[in-house]
This record gives sequence, structure tokens and C-alpha cells, in this order.
Amino acid sequence: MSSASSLEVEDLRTEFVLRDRVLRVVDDVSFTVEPGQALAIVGESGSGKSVAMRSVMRLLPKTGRVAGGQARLGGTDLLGLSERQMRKVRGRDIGMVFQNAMEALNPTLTLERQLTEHLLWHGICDRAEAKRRAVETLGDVGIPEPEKRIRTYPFQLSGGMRQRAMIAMAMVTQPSVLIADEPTTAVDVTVQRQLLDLLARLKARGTGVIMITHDLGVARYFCDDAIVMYAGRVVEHSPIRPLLAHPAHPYTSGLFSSTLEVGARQRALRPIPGSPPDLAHRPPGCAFHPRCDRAEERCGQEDQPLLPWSGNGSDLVPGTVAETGRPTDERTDDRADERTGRREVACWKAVQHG
Amino acid sequence: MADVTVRPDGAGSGPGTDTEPVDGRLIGVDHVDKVFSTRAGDVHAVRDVSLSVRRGETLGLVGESGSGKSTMARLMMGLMAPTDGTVTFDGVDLSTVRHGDMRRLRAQMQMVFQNPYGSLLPHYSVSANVAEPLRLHKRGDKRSRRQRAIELLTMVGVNPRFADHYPRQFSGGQQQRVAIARALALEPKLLMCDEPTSSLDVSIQAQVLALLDELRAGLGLTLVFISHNLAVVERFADRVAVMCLGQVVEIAPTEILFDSPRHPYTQQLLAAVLPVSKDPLPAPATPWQPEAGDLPLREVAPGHYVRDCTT
Amino acid sequence: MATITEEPAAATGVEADKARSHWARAWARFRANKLAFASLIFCALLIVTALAAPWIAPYHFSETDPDARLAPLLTDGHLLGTDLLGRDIFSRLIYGLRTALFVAFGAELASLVVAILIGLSAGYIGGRVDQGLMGITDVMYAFPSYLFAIVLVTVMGRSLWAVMLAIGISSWVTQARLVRAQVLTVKEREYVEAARSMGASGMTISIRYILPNAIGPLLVTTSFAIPAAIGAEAGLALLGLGVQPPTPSWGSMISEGTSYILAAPHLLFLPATLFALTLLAFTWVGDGIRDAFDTSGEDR
Repeated sequence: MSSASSLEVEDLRTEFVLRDRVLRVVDDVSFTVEPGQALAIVGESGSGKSVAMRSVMRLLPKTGRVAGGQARLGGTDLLGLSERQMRKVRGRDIGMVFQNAMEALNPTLTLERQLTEHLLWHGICDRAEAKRRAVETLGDVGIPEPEKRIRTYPFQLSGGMRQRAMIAMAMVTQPSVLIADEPTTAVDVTVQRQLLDLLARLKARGTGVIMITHDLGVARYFCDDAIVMYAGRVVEHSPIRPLLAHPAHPYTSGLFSSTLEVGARQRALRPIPGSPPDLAHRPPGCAFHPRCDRAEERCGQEDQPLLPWSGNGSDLVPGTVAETGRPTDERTDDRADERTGRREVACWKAVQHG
Repeated sequence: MADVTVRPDGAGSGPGTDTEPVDGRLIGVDHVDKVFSTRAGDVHAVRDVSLSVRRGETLGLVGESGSGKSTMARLMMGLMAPTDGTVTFDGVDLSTVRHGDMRRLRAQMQMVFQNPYGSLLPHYSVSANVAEPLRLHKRGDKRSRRQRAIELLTMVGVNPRFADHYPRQFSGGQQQRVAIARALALEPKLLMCDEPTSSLDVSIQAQVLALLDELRAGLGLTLVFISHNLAVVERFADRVAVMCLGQVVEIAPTEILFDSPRHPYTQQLLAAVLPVSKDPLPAPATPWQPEAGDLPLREVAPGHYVRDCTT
Repeated sequence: MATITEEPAAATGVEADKARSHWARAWARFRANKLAFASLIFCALLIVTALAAPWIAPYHFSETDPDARLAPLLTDGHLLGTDLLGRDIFSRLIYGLRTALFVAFGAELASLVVAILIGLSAGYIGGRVDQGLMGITDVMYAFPSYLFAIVLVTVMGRSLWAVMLAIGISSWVTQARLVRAQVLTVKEREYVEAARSMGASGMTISIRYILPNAIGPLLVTTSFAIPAAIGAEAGLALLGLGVQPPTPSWGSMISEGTSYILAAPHLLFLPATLFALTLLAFTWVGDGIRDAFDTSGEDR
């Protein structure tokens, strides 16, 4: 596979088989990650965002199964591969970065072993070349004295350095797609920025990045597109800037007005009432309707498909736009406009008013 | 649900040095040091911190991991003794308080922890959890305590129908509400909140903040609010102290600190925040190497103190 | 003061509608395990039988019938036959059960009490107390337990108490270490700090908060220690270090039975089978308890 293939996920469905019932955890999720682009998957705990990614990586727990859909990487459907073929894809074509480096790195192996292992397993190059690349990658992620540090063990590094080492591990094979699961949640703000800039370099080299996050600031800084997930379904799909400037789905706008922001003291904080549903008791119709202040009878009766949307959301969410203002940056506005045709939302009210 | 707004700053000035009128401050921290001895050597977690918490105000304490802010919380709560310096609560020096009196004093300062599930007793129902401080301090009988627990649960928005459920049966946000109800059971003067929302989902964080905001106004609580989330502190605190490597590098009323930060570390922290709606995106900050020095804290404007630094 | 808006019923943030305690949940899980539950019923029957031995057993364990020595199975008046001295096997098996259970439960209960006292003090107080207590524990741990039993029985004589003590002494050490380890884990939990911040005293913390949360694993090891102690009692008797005859013990019955394996095989097979069944049943109960308390994958 070339390093410029896109990942296309279509109608992905994942279920967990429990003793007495089957839970649909991911329901008809579709998205595309182009080379050099970053997609944010935004959602709260239980929204299915991590399970969706694990389905693509074929790393589900024993009780989980993919019940339908496709995940094509450069024309190959990953969901149809044998476990053996899939092992070749993991690490080589798709890399993964986790929230907690301490748990993701093997404490008994040196960085050298862990970094070169992927290259050697996949037969990408010989040992000497692998070592050279490992040192180079460690240097790339900003670890000082990489020739020396490569001989250390993960626990000998500080938290920020460990996170960098993990990113290096995902980068060393130059995968087509990188899946990052809350990569900056456990680190300090000053380090967060550095890590994101590091991932941005990878993006610039043509890797497509999927970033699972609940932090809208991170999504806006790093990503191009976003899908918003709620109770296993995509409720909104949009380029990131228009999404935050004019959230179309009531849940998205609820997330936005629940998020505090430095320097926006005058913006009202409006929490969404209630908690996300657990999937065993998924509300019928639009799963968000019990928490939605604009819900009508119809919302609890009909499933809401993702439909194209081209409005600016001002009718639906009074106040949001007026209080925050549109982005003033001309450059970003242009980019947003190019993409407005691709916005989709799963809410009939939004579609009607949009 | 109520919007969270910034309340006008309380009167008085000073980071808690001798100029602070004694009756105006609920907590006084004077030149406090805390050193932990470990096998790898001594760790200086807090060095020479002086600050005060005024009655009725909310003091925000921000800093990154390892800045000593959680140690400060435990020192102010009297849960650990300082290596050097004094901590006073309501004018009483905590180091001179005897064991029994300390327990009585504890009733006036309660804590809300980061991980609500971890801080609740797993083998007690939520109403028993909320009633537990009343039982420990021998207030009322079993029935009246349960009655009070149910009132408190109702107050924080937990349906009393679930009073006999166990903590694990609740979502994180509901658990944190229960923990807040428990902290309020003894009608404390001070509520110490150690990252109370950082383990919660975004939509739930906002609920808990709105709840805390409502409670502090309604009950006239004094709050110390510890967080690494600058946006939360900006919205919530009257004054903010920034900690780095165990030292306070800057203290100021919230608006002043966020609008015109003086210390390079504060500037660096603020520059690292990624905005959700504002533009332009911040330019990468010039990195400032944190240093632990003995340079003094200087008053640069009324109520605005900044630690000198070499760079 | 106003309350927070009541949440919609579908999103209360509460998982289930029924309030269930830790213990109720563990019991429900135990009940669902058929093998463990059947074993528990069998063990309960054994315990009742042992307690009611004088009323159930047709003869006293030392009562001899000179007319019926080495009587085979299904002899009139001796359902399971008699031994060399003409003693009723059925009665001796029941009294042997009584000995086994008395020694096992006595030893484990005593060792549990000692282990909790020592482990809790060592773990909660820490420092010098911890070092001292764990020092003693380590010395005891290093001491071979059978050697200890031989010394004890030699000094105290072959009484029931000596056997109980000999078994209990080798058992409390592991238990005490476990209690200490549990206490150290639970002590770091936030709710213990929360309790301190509410003004709870050290005693309250260790007994009301730490112990109940450390007890699960302890119950599991105890449930496995019971069959081990039953085995140890029989083992000591087999070596001639068990309770003083004529008090019956399955160990000594098995040892006697081996001498008449050709003439009267039931003398060996009956106590051996009952012994094996008992051990198996208690072990399966232990398995059930362990699984019932294993909350991995269910707790947040």
C-alpha cells in the first residue's frame, strides 16, 4: 500500500454480545480520512467513538463483533481481512497513539526494541536501517540526544517524553493512517501544544489522522473535519470551523455551550441537562431527545438520518452565534466556505430550519 | 439552569502577607514549605508559599502536574503538616490544634475530590455516604441523619428515589453531586475543590460547575478551587494563584491575571490554551524554562503579585 | 435555595432501578454458579451432620462390637461394616467428619482473627510497627510447618487443640500478609482520604472503611484454606501426629484401611472417597466465592 491511501469507513456497525442481549454500540457510522487530513471524532463517554476505532483496527474485546459495514484502506476492506493479514496492516499501515503512554509502552523493553520491532516484523528494512530510522524518528519527535535515549526504558522518561516516544513508535513505519485516542488528555497544556504540532508534521507528510477527543479546542486546532457522535450514531458531520461557529445539531451546540473557554467570560455557560444514555436503554428516535430543549413528539418516534445541511444554525440555537461572533480570520473563512456543501446533520428540525 | 457569572472581587488586597486584616481571611498560609522524603531523596513539593483565602471568596489555584497545588490543598485542610511555616484556619494555627479539636475543626472545611467514585464509600448507599459525616460528628439520630441526607441529595439534584442505591450505580456526574452533598452535610465554611470536574464529560462538567456556583452563592461558601483547566478557573474564581514547581509565581484578581499576565510562566500557560471559538489561534509561546529560585514576590499593582524571575 | 432542574426520567444517570449492595451482588453471582451452589448445599449438609453427630451416628465412635469384626458392607446393624475392633464405620466416618471440620474451621477462624489484627495494625499504622510485625511474620513463614506441628504435638500431646494450633499457625501467616497488602491498597483509595477530611478517627477508618473493602479477597483465601486444613488434619493423622485415638480422624482411618486393603477394601475406600468429596466440595465453594467477588469488567 502506498502511504497516500485514504481510509473510508462506511455504515460501520459494531455490537456487543452480552449474556441476555445484543447491544448496538456503533450504528451506521461513515467517514473518510484523506491523506494529509485530520478528522476529529467528538463525543462523550459511551458515545462509541473508541469502539468505532477499535472496530477498524479489529481490536475489539471478545464480546464485540462488527455486524456490518466496510473500512477500506486504499481499496482493501480491513473488515474482510484474516487476522494474519490484519496483523500486517496494524503498525505498518495504521498506527495508533493512546491516552496513556505508560500503559501503551512495554516497560520491559528499551525504546530501541519497541521502535525497531515494527520495522523488522513487517520486513520494511534490515536491522541497521531500522535503528537508523528509529533514532531519526526519536529526534523528529523532539527527544534530545536520540542516540543515547534510544537505549533507555519507558519508565526512565518523563511523562511528556514518554508521550513523544509513543508517537515516535506510531510514526516510525510512516503509516497511511494514524488513530490517536485522546493523545493529549493526560498531559499538561504546555506539552499538549507541542504534541499536536508534532502530529501536524506527520499530517504534512501525507498521513491521515483520526483524532478521538472530547476537547473542542484540540479538535479545532488540529483537525480539518469532525464527526460528532452520540449514543453510537453520528449526529453531525462537518468541517471543524463551521461546526463550531454554527453548530447545527442541538447536541453539538449543547457541547459547545458547555465548554468553557479562556477569554470568553461573557459567553453564557448552558449545561445540557441529564447524562448520556447507557446503550442498554437507548431512547427511541433521536437518542438525544430526552435531553434536548427543542425536542418535539416526533423526535422520540423517528430515527434521524444524516441529511445535508446548509444553514447557519441561528434559528435553531438562538444566542450562540450572536454571542460568539463568527471567526474573524479571513483565511479560515474561505476554507470553511469551500466545504459548506459537505455538512450533514441528523436532526429534522435543524434540516427544516437550516 | 443558572449561568455561571463572575462575582465582583472581594475587598482587601495582598496575597496573605502580614498586611491582610486577620478577621477578613478564613485561611492564612504563611511561608509554608513541604518536603517529602523519598528513597530517591527529598522532594520539595511546596516552597515558601504565602497566601490567604478571604471569607466568601473563591480562590483559584492553577498549575500543571507537579506544581504542588494538590499538596497545598492538603496543607490547607490540615491533612498533612507543613515542614516549615504556619497554616491558620479561622485564626487558629492548625499546628497547635489537638487531635480532638482538629476533628471538630474539620467539620468546617470539607473537600470535593477529582474522582467522585473513588472518594465515595463503595459499600455504603449514597444516602449513607451523605449521612456519614453527620454520624462521625454525632449529629442527630439515624432517622434525622437520613432525612437530612435526602434533603441534601435533593438540593444537589439527585433524585431521592435513588437514595438507597450504591455509588457504582450512578454516572460520574451524579456521583460528584453525591460527593458535593456529603461535603455540605456539616455546613462547612470552606469547600476545598480539588479538580472537581476534570474526570467528568464536558456536558456534565458544566452541570457540576453550575451547581457549585449556585451553592456557593446560596450558602455563602468560601471556595478554594484547584484546577489545571484555566477556562474553568477564569469563569469560577475571584482571585487566582498560579503555581509552578511548588512556588506561587503570580497572584491577582481573575480578570487582571487573565487580561494582563505578568509572569512569563503565566503568559506561557495562557498562550498554550487552544480556543474553541476565538481567532486567531495563538502563536506558539516562547518556551520559558521553569526555575525554582528564591526571588521575591512583588506587588506590581494593587492586589497583583508577581514573582521576580531571572529571564 | 433552588434545586437543580429535575432530570428527565430517561437520563437520570442511574444505571439500574434496583439498589443492590456489594454483598447482594456477590451472592447473586454465586447463586448463578450451579456447581458452586450445589457444593455449598453439600458442605452445609456436612456441617449439619458434623454438628448433629451424636444423634445421627448409631453408635459411639469407640463402641466395639466383638461379634462383628471386619464386617462387610450392608451387615445387619452396621450399614457400612465395622473395622478390626468391631467399631461401626458409619459412626466413625461421621465423627471423623466432626473432627475434620472442627479442626479446620477452628484453625482458620483463629488464624483469621490473628491475621486481621496483625495485618490491619501493620498496614494501617505502618512504620516501625509494620516492620516489627512483618519481621515476625516472615520468620514464621520461613519455618517448615510440619516441623512446627511435630514440635507442638510432642509438647502438647496429641489433643484436638494441639492439631488445631499446629494448622492455624501455618495458616495465619499468609493471611496476615494478604490483609496487610489489602490494607495498603485500600488505604491509598480516595475515600479513605475523604473520610480523614471529614474528621474520622484512625480506628473508625480501619474498621468501618478499610476492613469491609479488604474482606472480599480474605474470604476467598479462607474458603480455600478450609479444604487445605481438612487435608492437613488428615495428613497429620496419617503420619501419626493427629488427634489421639480412639477419636476418629479420616487420616488415621485411611492409614488403618491400607493394612486391610485385600481383606476389607471398604475400610480404605469409604474414608478416602468421603475425604476427596469433601475437599472437592469445599474447593468448589471457594471457586464460586472467588468468582462472585471478581468484579473485573463490571466495576468502573
